[in-house]
Amino acid sequence: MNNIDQLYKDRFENFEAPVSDGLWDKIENDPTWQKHLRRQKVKNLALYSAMAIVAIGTCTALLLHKPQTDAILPEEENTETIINETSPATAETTDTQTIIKEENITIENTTAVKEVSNSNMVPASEAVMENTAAQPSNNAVSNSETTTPPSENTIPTIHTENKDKVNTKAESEQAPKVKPSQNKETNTEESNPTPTPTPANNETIQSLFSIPNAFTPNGDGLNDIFKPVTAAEVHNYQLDIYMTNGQHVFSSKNIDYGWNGEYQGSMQNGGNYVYIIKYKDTDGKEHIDKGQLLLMR
Amino acid sequence: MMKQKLKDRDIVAGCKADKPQSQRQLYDKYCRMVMGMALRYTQNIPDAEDVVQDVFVKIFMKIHTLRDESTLISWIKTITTHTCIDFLKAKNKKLITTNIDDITNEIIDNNNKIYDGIPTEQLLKFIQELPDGFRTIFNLYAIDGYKYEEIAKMLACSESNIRSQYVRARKILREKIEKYE
Repeated sequence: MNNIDQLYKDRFENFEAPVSDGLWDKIENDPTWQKHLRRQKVKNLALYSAMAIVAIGTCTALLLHKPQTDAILPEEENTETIINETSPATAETTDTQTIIKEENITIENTTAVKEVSNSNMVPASEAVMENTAAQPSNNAVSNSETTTPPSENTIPTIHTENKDKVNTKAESEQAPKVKPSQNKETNTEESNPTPTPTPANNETIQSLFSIPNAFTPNGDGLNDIFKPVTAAEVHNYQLDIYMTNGQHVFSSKNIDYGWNGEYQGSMQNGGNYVYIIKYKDTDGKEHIDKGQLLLMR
Repeated sequence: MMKQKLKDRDIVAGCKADKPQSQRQLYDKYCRMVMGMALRYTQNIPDAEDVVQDVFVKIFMKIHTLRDESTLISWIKTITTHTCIDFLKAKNKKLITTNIDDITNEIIDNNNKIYDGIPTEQLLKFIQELPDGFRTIFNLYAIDGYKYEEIAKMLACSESNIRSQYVRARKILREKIEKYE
């Protein structure tokens, strides 16, 4: 290396020089720096608001997404159980029905039997009609014993013998099903046009709830709210209602608060909806009741 | 040494978080070094302070791009040289003039005399008196250790041109030093 180079390198490589006192103020007030600071502020604001939006977005997405995936399952389960468990189910439902018959003897009973008769076994209807006059529940039993085809109690056995009657049996099951839920409040006219699939909520058997399977949110003061009722003590209660396409329309954790048929402020169309009720009984056992309900206009 | 490194890291972390206190600490620690460099690239104190101002604004704005705190000093030096070159380029339409005569006119100086008696201020004055192009090239090559190739890229001209200008710059300095002695 040249001696001049060396001289300068030695003297200036770590050369330091004092600056004037006012230089820091100049830097602080440098227009480029001030501009940068302003931009930084705006950027930070934008960043925080963006983060907030993203956080809110993910939360809502998670909340909306999860119940939807759940909703598909219960529907599938339901249809399966309708096919597989119809025979025991009918046995049970007829039982409940006869109990109701005992309680509300006159009108209810006759209509119920009418429906059964209407649905499949025409010739039996007259015989049943005659029988219902005095003591319905006994009659039903005796009826079934004497005349095999018409009575509901015999349906399971018939079913095993005549498998081709599955469809008619399913229908016959649905018809009485609508009845108990609506027995007092709804008119019989309303309950009659429900041969549409209102599948058996089989799980009501173990359920602590009595769950109506139809309601009429028309503001007439009768059955305007869909709400499961229970006398038992339950915890962690949650009711969710979905459209058949999986759209979540209602949720409640308050046992006294039911669905009025509205979603996002507008009254929903008549048709089938799926409900899922989750709760824990006093033993801490978790229950999930699923089923369909009919919104009638 | 260890203590200083730790402190550098703290200062840099503070600057990255846009803490005014840390920025002031960084300035207080390194303004003399930057000023020393700026003085030999420019010709007077006001110009040098303009450069120092620009350098620290750049440092504060770009500190988040510094990944390794241990390279802080060389990072500041790089910013300073580039800022100086930008400053001189803004001042001169063409910082490096190509002079074909110079290229052929290479001076071979093999005088190895050691000039120890000259004060640093005088040496600084000599270098400040050089034309901007010569001064820049001499600073970059002799003091800051850049290679011809790198300087050619930074100043956007040919390597041979840099080389000849550097030789001429050194010749001028030698003449000044010998005259002084």
